[in-house]
Amino acid sequence: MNCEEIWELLSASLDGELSPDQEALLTAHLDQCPECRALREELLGIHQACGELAPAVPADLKERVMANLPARKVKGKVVYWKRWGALAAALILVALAAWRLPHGLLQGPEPSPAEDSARTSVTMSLKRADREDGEEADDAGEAETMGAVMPDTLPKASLKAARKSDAEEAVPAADEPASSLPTSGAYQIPRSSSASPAYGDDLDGQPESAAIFVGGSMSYAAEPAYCGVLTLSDFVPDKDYPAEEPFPGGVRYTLPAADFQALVKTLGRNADLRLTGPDIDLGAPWGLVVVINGER
Amino acid sequence: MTEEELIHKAARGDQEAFAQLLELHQSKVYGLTLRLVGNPEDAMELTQETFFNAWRGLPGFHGDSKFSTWLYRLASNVSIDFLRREKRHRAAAATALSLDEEPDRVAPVPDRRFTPQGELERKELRLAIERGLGQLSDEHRQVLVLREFNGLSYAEIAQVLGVEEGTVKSRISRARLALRKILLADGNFSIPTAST
Repeated sequence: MNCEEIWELLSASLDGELSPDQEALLTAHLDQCPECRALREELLGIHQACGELAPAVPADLKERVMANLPARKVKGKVVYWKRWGALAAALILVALAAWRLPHGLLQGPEPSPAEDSARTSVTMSLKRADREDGEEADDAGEAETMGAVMPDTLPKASLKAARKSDAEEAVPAADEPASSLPTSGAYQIPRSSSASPAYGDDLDGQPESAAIFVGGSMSYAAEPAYCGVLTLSDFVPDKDYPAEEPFPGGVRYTLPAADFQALVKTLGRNADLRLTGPDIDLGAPWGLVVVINGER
Repeated sequence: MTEEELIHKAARGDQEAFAQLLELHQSKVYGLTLRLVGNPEDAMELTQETFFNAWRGLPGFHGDSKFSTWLYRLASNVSIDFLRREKRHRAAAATALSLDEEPDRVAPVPDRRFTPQGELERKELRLAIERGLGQLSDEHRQVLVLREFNGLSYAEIAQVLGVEEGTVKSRISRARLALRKILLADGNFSIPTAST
């Protein structure tokens, strides 16, 4: 072993993390390498000095934490959402109509070459798999604009790329049930869905579909990015979100970023909000609300 | 009452039990945030945030890791998030010098090995290390703080950071060598034999 390989063993020996074999290897090297022996002394000096460093805890820390400790139960009713209710309902109908038309309720004529070209342009710009039926270009455009992109048409190729930098892996998710989904399989959540089309416009320019992969066979890097993860013990949304997913001990809601931010704002500093981790992308158009049942 | 019982009670909303847990772990959590962000004021805020998050998240804590490891992960998350948000890690860490001036209030630190050296020399080295920590990358500082100041094993650090133990091992080694290099450049660390 050369000296550089030994350095790692040398460091680990200070922490008592070497196996007997490694210890023997290190000792043998140190016996015949004065430079590594000197390095060991230096690192040992630093190690010992670190052991003598400890900050004085502010005397009022406990008092301040306890004084501001929020009640465990949080009612997540957000009045803000109600304002969107009527508009959302209207848009749902339009979006549903736009979706149903090309699927047999009303078969339109074959598109002209120009219409076909227009349709291709629209669908490609939205990274959506082209449909091979005889839909009207306008219908397709309208459906896209309303955000009625159905899950089964979202191409996996547009999934968010792996984010494996060391800096990101250094910030793990908190220990929360959000990471333990019940079954295996792959779920895809539409970027926007017919149940929340009012937010379609907000999602323009967001290239990736959101997907949740459950189970060990999928790469962690393929999981969706959220603009934040909010953990609540009690939460009753004012409208039905399509991505509601029960898991052992609670429920998950995937909210459009605007709704999510509104909820966070409502909760203020009481919010248990996570903004770091491999699954977080602050620019993501979705936020995840994890509702943990209080009684276990 | 055991820690497990305290956790169970706190998870069900018992604030007194949570206060006891807080008392047990506050010095380590505060120390961790302080080392990571570099100034007492922010560390105080982040420690509070950590315990808020812990209080909120307790019902979801199922004992997959040690409670302390879970807390350190929360603390590490809020601290790194803070550093990224504020983009101030360089400046902040440079102010971390006044932290160990009151040894009578110092919390117990594990692995306190000690060699006879002059008090002045030790103090100089400690101050140099404080400065040096501030100059390390976030990644190196994080792993070194968890090891040297919080006394976590490699396996526990791997849990906190969500990386492999082998990564922890090599990262700590690199962090130590980086710190040594900074100390040498700082001129506060005399070295009998140069080896890099």
